[in-house]
Amino acid sequence: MIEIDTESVEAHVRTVLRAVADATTVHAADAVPTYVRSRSRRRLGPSIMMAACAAAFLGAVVLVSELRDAPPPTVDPLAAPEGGRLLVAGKTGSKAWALYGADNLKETKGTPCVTLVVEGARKATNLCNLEALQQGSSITYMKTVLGTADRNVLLIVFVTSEVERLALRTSLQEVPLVVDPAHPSGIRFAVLEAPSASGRFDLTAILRDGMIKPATLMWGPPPKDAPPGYMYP
Amino acid sequence: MIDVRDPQAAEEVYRRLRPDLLRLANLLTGSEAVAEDVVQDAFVGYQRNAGHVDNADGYLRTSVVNLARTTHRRSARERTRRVEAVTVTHIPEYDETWAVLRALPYRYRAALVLRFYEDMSEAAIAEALGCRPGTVKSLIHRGLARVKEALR
Repeated sequence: MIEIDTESVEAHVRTVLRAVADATTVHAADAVPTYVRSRSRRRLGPSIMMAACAAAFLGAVVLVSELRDAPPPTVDPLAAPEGGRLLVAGKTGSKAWALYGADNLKETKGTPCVTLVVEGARKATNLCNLEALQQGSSITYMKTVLGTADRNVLLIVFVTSEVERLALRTSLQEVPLVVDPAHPSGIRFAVLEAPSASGRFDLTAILRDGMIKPATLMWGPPPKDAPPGYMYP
Repeated sequence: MIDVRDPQAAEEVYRRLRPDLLRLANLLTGSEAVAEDVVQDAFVGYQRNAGHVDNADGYLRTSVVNLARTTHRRSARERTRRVEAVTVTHIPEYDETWAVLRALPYRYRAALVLRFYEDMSEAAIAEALGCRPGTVKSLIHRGLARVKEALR
């Protein structure tokens, strides 16, 4: 029990609110919701739906980051999803992978989708409703760490038709963009690899209107020289 | 106005504003876990409308207040059954007062937080809460009276 006189109750409340604010846990963010888009153009209304959309996308990122620890596969690791169209495939680190385009996948909402299948993973990673995912953003990406020894990072970059070309920022070497043949004017894809330790990938996007935009894809722990309270992008 | 198509600009807004928004949301909702959801939702909404927003700070703060209110309504029944992540200051008299503030009806707590933490005017609070300035004055007065009574 504490004693507060009438005159000090305002000051006390002010002090307590400030103390609670200062004591609030502010975790560094694992991922920036900058890249999170609602799954639909309709007004989602209940914020729980928006949270679910955000969680779905972040969950996908988390899922792919955990693929490296997955037990041996129980199904053909590079089996195409039903009706899937092979967009690009390769091997990163010690893992073979394939990216498929697909429509109306089971247990997903929205279309079109991409499905990333990785050798050794128990199940594929689906990312759907790509057009809505990119509302307001011409470039988004997902990333996964593959390989056991070298821990290479595989980055799947999605760009809207607003982007004409992608290039590596330092060398200006052009990055090829893959088109889903079923959606020739839709989202295009670029697949990039980088050593896990590098922590970032710097791209330059050349837009159709001539503008040039930087796009930095980041992963891993915060930089060593990060200031206190650094929020990992 | 920020170009949301520029990932770096969006990241800068996120890094700069998220900590303060989390603190505000925590004060409004009384739960750190709910605050995380509210701020996340606020940023998602901001990105949908950022092309039309001149003041990201003001827009996001208003979004947090509105989302905290709707979240409060929605989760009123759930709150009795789930474990909340409640902030502890480790100063007993502060924690006791914080418990009293958390127990206040949302509109009372929101009015006190916006007035004494955000230092907003009664008119601005009225706009944020969707009521008249006279109502805000009453909410603050009665809210303080409830705090004083509970701590007596």
